[in-house]
Amino acid sequence: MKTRITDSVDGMAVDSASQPSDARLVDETRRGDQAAFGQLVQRYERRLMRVVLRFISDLDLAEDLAQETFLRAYERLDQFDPSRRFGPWLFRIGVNLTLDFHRKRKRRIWSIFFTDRAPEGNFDPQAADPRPELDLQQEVQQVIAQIPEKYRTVLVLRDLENFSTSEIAAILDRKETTIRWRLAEARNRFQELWEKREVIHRRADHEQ
Amino acid sequence: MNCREAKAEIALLVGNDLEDAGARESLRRHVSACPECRGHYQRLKQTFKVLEQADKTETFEVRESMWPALSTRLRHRQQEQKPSRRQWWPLASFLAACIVVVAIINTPAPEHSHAPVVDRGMMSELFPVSGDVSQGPLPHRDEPTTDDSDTPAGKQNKSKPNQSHPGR
Repeated sequence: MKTRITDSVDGMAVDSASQPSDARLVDETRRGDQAAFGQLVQRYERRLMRVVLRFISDLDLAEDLAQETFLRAYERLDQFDPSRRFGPWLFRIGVNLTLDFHRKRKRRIWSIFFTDRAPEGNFDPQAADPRPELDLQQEVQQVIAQIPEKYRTVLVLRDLENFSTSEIAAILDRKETTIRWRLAEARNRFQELWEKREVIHRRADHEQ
Repeated sequence: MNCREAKAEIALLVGNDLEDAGARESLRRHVSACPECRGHYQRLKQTFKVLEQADKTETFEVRESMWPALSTRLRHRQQEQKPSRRQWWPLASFLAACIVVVAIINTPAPEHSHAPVVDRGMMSELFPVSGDVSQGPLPHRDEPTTDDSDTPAGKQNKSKPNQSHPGR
């Protein structure tokens, strides 16, 4: 079994003792030091982008959402409880923003399905099977996308982004026992869907 | 432990999320006795490897920091907010000035300090009115604004109509 990366939400802050802590940077930002907020952005932007990209595959959209996350965090910094950790608070804003965007986009897709207009890119039976072009990661993403959101979010944060269950509880504002239950359910559902997909692939290969 | 509970715990076990040693032991006992759960464990372990393979740390590399763009956006937002605050100042000042002017206009001219002050009982004797008292002349500013006829002081005033307020 692969060793899990045990970096915490604010792991990067802990790595280097010479770097100021998140709490100090938050305090300096509150006093009007924008450069301190810049350090927080540089500390978290990579991980935030990765998390957003797990839900939104478009790079430009993901960057817009990540920027909006930081802007909202900056504007709401006076609401942040300094006795808590900055990382989960930031990711809570980011995940909520991303999921809201995702839900709205899904609703728009539904409305396209229920209009008379033909969807773009009609299915062409003569076209080559696109499956070989999909790499494992894309296939995993497709299967994960079929899992209901409340389970999918936990699965992505835990198994793809390596957040601990207590960190996920803080990000999603739920009890850790709830997160563990959802995680178990998400893994079991992923397994069922993955097996189903393999059966379909085998059947398709057999028919060819 | 039943199979449903075991399936949930197996799902936690494959990802190293079943930390409680007691729970792990009771799961081990259940799985060793239940072929169905044993099969589930084997299949889930295989599938979980797929998830681990998809967990690539190099999923996204920041091409360049978003901070320069963000700091520009922050500055713009702050500049947008500042003029709007300034725009409120003239209006707020004007409203404050209006309130002061209205307050001055409504303030009555100072009365003669030595003028006798009469209470409502005395007024009704001097200018008898019928019907609603509220239709009569407005009470003087120095008059008591509350009807204290039911209070002991009011009764005392009624019995001595010509007595002015103490201290005046």
